[in-house]
Amino acid sequence: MNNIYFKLVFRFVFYLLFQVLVLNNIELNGLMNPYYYPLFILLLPISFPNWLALLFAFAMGIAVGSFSNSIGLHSFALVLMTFVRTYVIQIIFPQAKAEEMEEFSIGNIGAFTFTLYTFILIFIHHFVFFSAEVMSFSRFYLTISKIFLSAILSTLLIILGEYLFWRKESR
Amino acid sequence: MRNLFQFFLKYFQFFLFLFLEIVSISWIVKESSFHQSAYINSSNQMVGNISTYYHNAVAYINLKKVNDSLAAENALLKANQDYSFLFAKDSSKIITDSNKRAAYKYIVAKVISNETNKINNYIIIDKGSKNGIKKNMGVICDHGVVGIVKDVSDDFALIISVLHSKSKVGVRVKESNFVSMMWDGYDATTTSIIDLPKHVKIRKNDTVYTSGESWFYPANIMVGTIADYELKNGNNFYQVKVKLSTDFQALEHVYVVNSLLRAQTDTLTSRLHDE
Repeated sequence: MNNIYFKLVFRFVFYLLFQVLVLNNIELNGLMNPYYYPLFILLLPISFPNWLALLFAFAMGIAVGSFSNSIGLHSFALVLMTFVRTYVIQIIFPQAKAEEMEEFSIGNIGAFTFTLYTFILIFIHHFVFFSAEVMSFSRFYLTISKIFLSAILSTLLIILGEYLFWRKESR
Repeated sequence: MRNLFQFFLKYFQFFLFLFLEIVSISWIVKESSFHQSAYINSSNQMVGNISTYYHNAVAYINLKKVNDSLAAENALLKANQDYSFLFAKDSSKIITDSNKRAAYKYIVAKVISNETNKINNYIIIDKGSKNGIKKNMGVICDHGVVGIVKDVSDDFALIISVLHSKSKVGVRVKESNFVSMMWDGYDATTTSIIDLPKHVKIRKNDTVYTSGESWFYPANIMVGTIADYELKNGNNFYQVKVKLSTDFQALEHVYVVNSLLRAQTDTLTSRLHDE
């Protein structure tokens, strides 16, 4: 039990620093801002208590947001994504049993399912985040293309990262 | 009572979710206002320290560019020194400059965190209230305007970049009066002016200067050049695209403007409001 919390804290710090020190400084163009840190929530085990996941999401949102003066935006989007995650899991893995899926990983549940799961939730996160950031319909097409392009890029990054780490672990 | 308790226990997750979202929304509202900031922002000591470590590690990447621009500015300053001038006419009178007085002082600072890809971008610098930086001071760099100080801690200051959806810079093109320049939220190199009246004759590549009217920035600092403009039929105002002279993606040293006379105009305005 201790082991999993140690792992979680390590992941929390790693995703936070990767997001604020690396990804926040990468500029492809005005339309692509990838967000990698939601992966912290995506990889929580199914059996993980949901209220704790919500609190973790809130903390993660504050931590990432404090680097770009938007703690409200980040925590709002991530908490909402965490809440929806329960229902997405029920839809994508209806037969899932908590014991069988102690850990989410691309090797555990298959590349296609993992990609689908990741993209749906990342899309929700990005949709909420970017629409709340603009707070108006005046830049509708700009916001929509920003949401789509960033969600695709974030998903690609996450899948790529997962392949790297999963292979290391299985050896 | 017991039923109520059970009801809350049953929907505990949902209520927790609702509570966290309401807290977040209150923060969003606070952050989107121009003058308030949430309790945790990047002028916070810990966040500032992490950004400083990171900046020190990667600062050398821009070093060449920064050196060049500082050298160019040194040359300009040398040209303005007294020893660079000769009297045009021989005269026995010594002309002292007693008809000028200092209106602005500058505090040099290093940028430790900078962003350009959001709708609302902020900059953090490594000087704070210990160095005499206060809220609402303007910030410029060696070739353009940068923004306005929003919040200060002991060692850091948080600046609202010109690239912010609510930023407005008072500027002037040629003989035009004070007009305001705003950012469209997309391209970090261009901004726009929408209230420039059509009687002003403008051309491409005309220089845009600060107007100095609100005392945030000194007057006549170059802001950018006109990249493009159009005048729609029946419209009295140009739609002008300005190419910024500040390179926000490679910002290294900035100057915080301490306007010595603004305190007086501020007291006058506040007296007006008190009446």
